[in-house]
Amino acid sequence: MNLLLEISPVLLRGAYTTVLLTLVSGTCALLVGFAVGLARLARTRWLSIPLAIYIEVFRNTSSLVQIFYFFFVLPLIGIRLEAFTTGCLVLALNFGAYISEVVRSAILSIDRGQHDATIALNMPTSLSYRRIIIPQAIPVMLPAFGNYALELLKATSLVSLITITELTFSGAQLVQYYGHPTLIYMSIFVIYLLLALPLVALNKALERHSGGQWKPKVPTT
Amino acid sequence: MDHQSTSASQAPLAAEFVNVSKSFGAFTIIDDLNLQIRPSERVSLIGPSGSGKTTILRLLMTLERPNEGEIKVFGDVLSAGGEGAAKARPDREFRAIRGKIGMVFQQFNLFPHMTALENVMEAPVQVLGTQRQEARDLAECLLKRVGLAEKGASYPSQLSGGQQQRVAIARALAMKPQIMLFDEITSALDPEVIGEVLEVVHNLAHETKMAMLVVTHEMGFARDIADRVIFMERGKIVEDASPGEIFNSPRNDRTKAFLNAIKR
Ligand SMILES: Nc1ncnc2c1ncn2[C@@H]1O[C@H](COP(=O)(O)OP(=O)(O)OP(=O)(O)O)[C@@H](O)[C@H]1O
Ligand SMILES: [Mg+2]
Repeated sequence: MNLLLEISPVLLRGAYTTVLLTLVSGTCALLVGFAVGLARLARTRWLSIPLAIYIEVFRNTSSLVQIFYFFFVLPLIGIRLEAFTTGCLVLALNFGAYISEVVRSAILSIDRGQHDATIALNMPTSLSYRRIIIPQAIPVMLPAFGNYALELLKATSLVSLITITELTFSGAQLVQYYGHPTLIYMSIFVIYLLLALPLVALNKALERHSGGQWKPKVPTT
Repeated sequence: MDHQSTSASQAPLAAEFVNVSKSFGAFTIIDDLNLQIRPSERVSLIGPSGSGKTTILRLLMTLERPNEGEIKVFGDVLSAGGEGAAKARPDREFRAIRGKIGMVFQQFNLFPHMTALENVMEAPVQVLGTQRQEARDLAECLLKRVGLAEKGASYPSQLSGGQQQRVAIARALAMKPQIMLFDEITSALDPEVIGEVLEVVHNLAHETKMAMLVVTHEMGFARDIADRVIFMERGKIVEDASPGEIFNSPRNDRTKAFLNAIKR
C-alpha cells in the first residue's frame, strides 16, 4: 500500500502525458482525416496520387517503424522536433490516414438524392457539403471515430520508445526502480481502463444524440 | 455561337433544348432532341418507362450534362455538350441562370436533419442571403400554402409521404423559380395521399405564372395540368400536341398504343 502511494505521483504524471498525447494527436488526426478525405473526394488531379500514397504508406507500415523513422531520420535532414511533437505528428498522420477513409466512405454513403436536392436549390458545392452532406455523414462516422479514439489511447504507449515518459514508460521505469512488476503493471492496466471509460461513454452519448433518426430538437430561433 | 440572349424583339423561351443528345455508356438515352418551353407554359411529358423523361428534367436541372447540343434558359446557354462544353461559364453566371429552375423529386429528397421549416428556409438564407426572419415568414407562408402550417417543427421522418412531398414543393417554391420541374412526384406515394399532392400542384398552376414541366404516369393529371402534352419514346419526341388531341385523337400509332396500354 505504501508503495502505491509512493508511485502514484509518477503514474499520474505518466497518465497525464498519455491523455495529452491522445487529445493532441487525436485532434490533429481529425483535422488531417477531414482534410485528406475531402480532398480525395474533390478528385483534384495533382493531389489524388500523393494522397493515395500517403494513406497506403501509413496504413501498411508498422506504426513503430513510422515513429522511429520520424524520430531518427527527420533530424538527419535538418528537421529537429521535440520527442512529444514527433510522437503527436506520427500518431496524427497514422490515424489521420485511417480517419480520412472513414470520412470519405461516410460522405459517399449519403444518398445521391441529397446532392441532387442541393443542386436543385442552387447551392454551391461548398455550401452543400457544409450544411447538408457533412452533417448527415458525421453520425455515420461517429462509431468508427470512437473505436479509433480507443485505439489511439492504446497506441500512445508506442511513443515511450522515443523517450516520452507516458503511462507505460513511467510504469516500466518504476518497475526497474522498485521491482513489484505485478502490482505496478496492474495499476497501469486499471488506469488505462479508467481512461478508456469516458471515451466509451462519450462515444455512446454522441451516437445516441445525433445518430440516424433525427429526433426532434428544440426548434432554432 | 455566343452566350448572348436571343434578339430582344421576341420574348425568349423559358427553356430550349437544341439538338441535345445524352448517352450513358453505349446507350443513347436522349437522341438529338429539340424542345421549347415558353414562359408560363405547362407541359406534361409522358411515355413508357426508360424513354428518357427523367433524363430530360435532370439535364435541364444540370444534374446531368449533355453529350451534344445546348440547353438554354431564358436565352442564356445553361449547359452544352461537345464543343460548347469547353467554354464553361464563370460559376456565378452559371448559378444565376440555374437559379431560375426548381425541381421536385420522386423520392422527395428532403434534408432529414432539418425540420420542415428549416428545409424550406435553408436555401433562401444560405443561397439568396435572405434575412432569417424574412425567410422564416416566407417558409411559414409556403407551408401554409401546401396545407402544412402546423408541421413546421416536424422532421421529415415524422411526416407521411404526402406531407413530405408537399414540404418538398414548398422548399422548391421558396427559391422562386420561373421554371418548375416535377418528376413523378406521386409515384412513391400511397394511393390515398396522391390526391392531396396533386391538388397542391393544381393550385400552383392556377395561382402562379411559373412554367411547369411535369413528368407523370397519372394521365388524368397530365391532361388537366397541361397546355401541351409531349409523348416520347426511346429518347425522341413522338408527338407534341394539345392535351385534347393527344388524349382524344392521337395521330401517332405509338401514342395510341401507349395510351391504350395505360388504360388497362
Ligand atoms: N446515371 C445513369 N447511368 C446509366 N444509365 C442511366 C442513368 N440514368 C438513366 N439511365 C438509363 O436511361 C434510361 C432512361 O432513363 P429515364 O430515367 O430518363 O427514363 P424515364 O422515362 O424517366 O423512365 P421511368 O418512367 O421508368 O421513370 C433508362 O434505361 C435508364 O436505365
Ligand atoms: Mg423517370
